[in-house]
Amino acid sequence: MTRGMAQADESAWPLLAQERTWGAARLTLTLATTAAATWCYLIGESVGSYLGFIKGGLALGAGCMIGMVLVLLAAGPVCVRFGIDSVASSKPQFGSRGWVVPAALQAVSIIGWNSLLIIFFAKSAVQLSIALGVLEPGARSAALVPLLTVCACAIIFTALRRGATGVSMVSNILVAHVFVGLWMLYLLVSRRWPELLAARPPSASPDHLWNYTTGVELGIGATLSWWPYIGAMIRMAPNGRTIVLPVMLGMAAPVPLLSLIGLAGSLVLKSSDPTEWLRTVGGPAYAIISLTFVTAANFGTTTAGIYASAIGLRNFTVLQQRSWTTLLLITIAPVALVGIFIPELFFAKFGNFLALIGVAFAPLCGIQIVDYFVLRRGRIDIRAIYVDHPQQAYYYWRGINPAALIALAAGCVTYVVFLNPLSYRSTTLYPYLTASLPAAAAAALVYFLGSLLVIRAGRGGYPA
Amino acid sequence: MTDRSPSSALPLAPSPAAPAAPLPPELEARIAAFERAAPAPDFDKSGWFWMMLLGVAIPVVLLIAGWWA
Repeated sequence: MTRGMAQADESAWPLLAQERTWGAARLTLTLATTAAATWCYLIGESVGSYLGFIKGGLALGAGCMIGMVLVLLAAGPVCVRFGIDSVASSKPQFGSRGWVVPAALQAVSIIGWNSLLIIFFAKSAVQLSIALGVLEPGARSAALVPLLTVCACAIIFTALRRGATGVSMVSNILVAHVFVGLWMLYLLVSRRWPELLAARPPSASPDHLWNYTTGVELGIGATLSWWPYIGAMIRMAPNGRTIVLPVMLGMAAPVPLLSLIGLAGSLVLKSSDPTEWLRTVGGPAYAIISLTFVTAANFGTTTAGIYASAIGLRNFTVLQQRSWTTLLLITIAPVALVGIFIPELFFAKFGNFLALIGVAFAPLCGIQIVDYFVLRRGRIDIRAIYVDHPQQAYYYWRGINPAALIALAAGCVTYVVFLNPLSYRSTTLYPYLTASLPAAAAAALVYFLGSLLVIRAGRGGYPA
Repeated sequence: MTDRSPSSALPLAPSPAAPAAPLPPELEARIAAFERAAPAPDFDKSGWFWMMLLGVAIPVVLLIAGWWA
């Protein structure tokens, strides 16, 4: 790799064709390693609260594929055409300054998720050491979690010094954990099948359609949260043809498959965490394997997340000239601080926080889809993405497109009206429509109508 | 005392008459390369086919199968 190429994949600059060397296999490996992490158990456990194993698995599978195609249609075209990340792809809609809104969503979402995963990573490593007899159980071992968090951050930092190559390298090593996860699923399903079929979800509503839709909604929401990650990965592929199957099969499919582990575990053994139930099912040897799996899974995902977040930060002018090392430190520092100082508090409050963040990605996708396919009909001004100046197309008004901000707010309100993500209180239409799809549609409609006024004002660089 | 001189203020929005700040040469070269080349396509027919199959048709089948399961 030349220095120019290395510099490019450590920046938010557009990648040229000769720099985008990831083929379908490499992209699939990287995306699969990114997608497969502890959150799959949490997603599976959530679905297992409302649906049984088969119904839950199918609803989750459908939801994940629907959510993924929305993300692909939203960020995919611009990212893959110009080799840019998700945040840069939002500049035509939000403006040459308004893009800080999606950037903030990306930063908060990725830092939040990565903090969760890195704490899981540290806890799993402690449990693994105890299972191997390296450490004694007790408070002294638990006190190692902050230290291991720092070690994990240091390893990720070292791997990412090589830019996207570091992400790919980590993925090549860790992709085996996806198969270990499938083996764990086979183990549970083959040994507890009758119990699995007979298990009753604990929080199921009397309304079967509501339960089923909630399974679909959880799948859609899970894959919509890939928006911040996807651009940084697919920009390394040479064209649109290369990305579709890797994204749909490498990023969308592993989530419902591995979520089945959490779904089955929560239904049969009342625990979504395989590190707990594999000891029950198969003894200490299986527990060690599962702990290794959890450790590897979270490490791979966090590496990709830190990379995507660092690339997103590059869009800030003040950070464009900073070294890649500085940028990595800025990105990793919040994760390390959370892991060191407030790991337990973060665990306790994280679900509520993430639910609110997740509400925004459906409207964001709706806005991007209608902007690219309907309003711009695929015409993007690459210079206007990088130049913040009144004469440029995406300057709108002081660098902000009010239509996008109003549409985003309308989409968020629509989501909360259809389904309150904290209380799970819903409207009567929710069982028929989900919440993410109406939120995306409402944002798209408001953006379309608002853009008609923007076009009339001669802003935004829309084609005649 | 707080310094309220222009030099300490937040940067103002550039005026339409003022020229845009020059881009880093490497970025300028990259943008120029895209502007010279024919617009790159996004998804081809096979991409759309797989997207519709995996993102629409199969989810519909899964939804129907799951509902009757």
